[in-house]
Amino acid sequence: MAWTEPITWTNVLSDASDFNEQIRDNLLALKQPPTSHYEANELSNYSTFSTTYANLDSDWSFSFSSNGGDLLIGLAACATGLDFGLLDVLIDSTRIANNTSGGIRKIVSSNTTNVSFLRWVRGLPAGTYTITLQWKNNSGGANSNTMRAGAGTVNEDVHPRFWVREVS
Amino acid sequence: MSWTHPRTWLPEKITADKLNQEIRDNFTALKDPQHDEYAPSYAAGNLISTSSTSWTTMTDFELSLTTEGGDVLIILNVDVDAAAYFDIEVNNSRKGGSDGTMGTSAAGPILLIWLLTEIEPQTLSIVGKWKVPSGTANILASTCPYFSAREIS
Repeated sequence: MAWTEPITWTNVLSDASDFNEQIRDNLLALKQPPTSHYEANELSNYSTFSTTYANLDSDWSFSFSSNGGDLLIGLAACATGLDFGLLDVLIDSTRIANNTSGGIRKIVSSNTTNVSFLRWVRGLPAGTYTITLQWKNNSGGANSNTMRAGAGTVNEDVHPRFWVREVS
Repeated sequence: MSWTHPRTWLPEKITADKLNQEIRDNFTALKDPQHDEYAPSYAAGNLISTSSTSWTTMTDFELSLTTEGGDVLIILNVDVDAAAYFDIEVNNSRKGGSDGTMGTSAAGPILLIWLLTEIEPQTLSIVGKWKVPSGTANILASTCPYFSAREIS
């Protein structure tokens, strides 16, 4: 349900349409905000040698319609990165780190480690945005970054989850 | 916009002032709650460093939040380059154990999430704290360290 900016009431006789928009619809907008999520359970893990930011695949990209306001963006995942790598989130054409050398989470170990993150993105105008999880490898040499994605790997069958929610 | 505890309506005249307080102002307070954050932009190298083996404030990781009462969600999201422990201090009271709420034995990510519940109306001082078991640890500036506190419904 779309959010409508609350009006300033005046001493006029209000009708049902005012109450429906201002109370019913806005309560629904707060109770059921826009949310997108993807949980991976793939046949194989994700892997990259790319030294420039790239999408994991199309599943990790959402077309997100916001009422305007703040988004909470989170990733729960494990990965390995012998030569280290970086994760970031692209919102339309701008990554949160907004620098080719930066990111918002580092993949740092040859062991499977936590690469989860959680942060707010604030003050988005109402509109539709393309929100995408991206990553890159530091060296592009012999060692790739690998994100566990189910794949039935013994002792490493973990399912990463990426989500975006408008939160008031 | 501040929150006002919702009234219990009686058989009474509904005035514009009442509707503005109960509907306009309270919906606005829910939609845009109190929020403070420290979110430095990307930079090369390290942001802050410590060799302290006793709890010390993470420089600039200090927030102030005036809450109308309710719950507050705290997020600390950083990457560290060596073993370190992390905690949250609220109004001079550290929340975790002797070694904090979260730690790492080697370089890696830190995601510390804390939900304060049923907080009375007040101004909260929320501070990130850290220490090392030995040696020196640095918070990376290149992965956009993030620290936030938000009133959440």
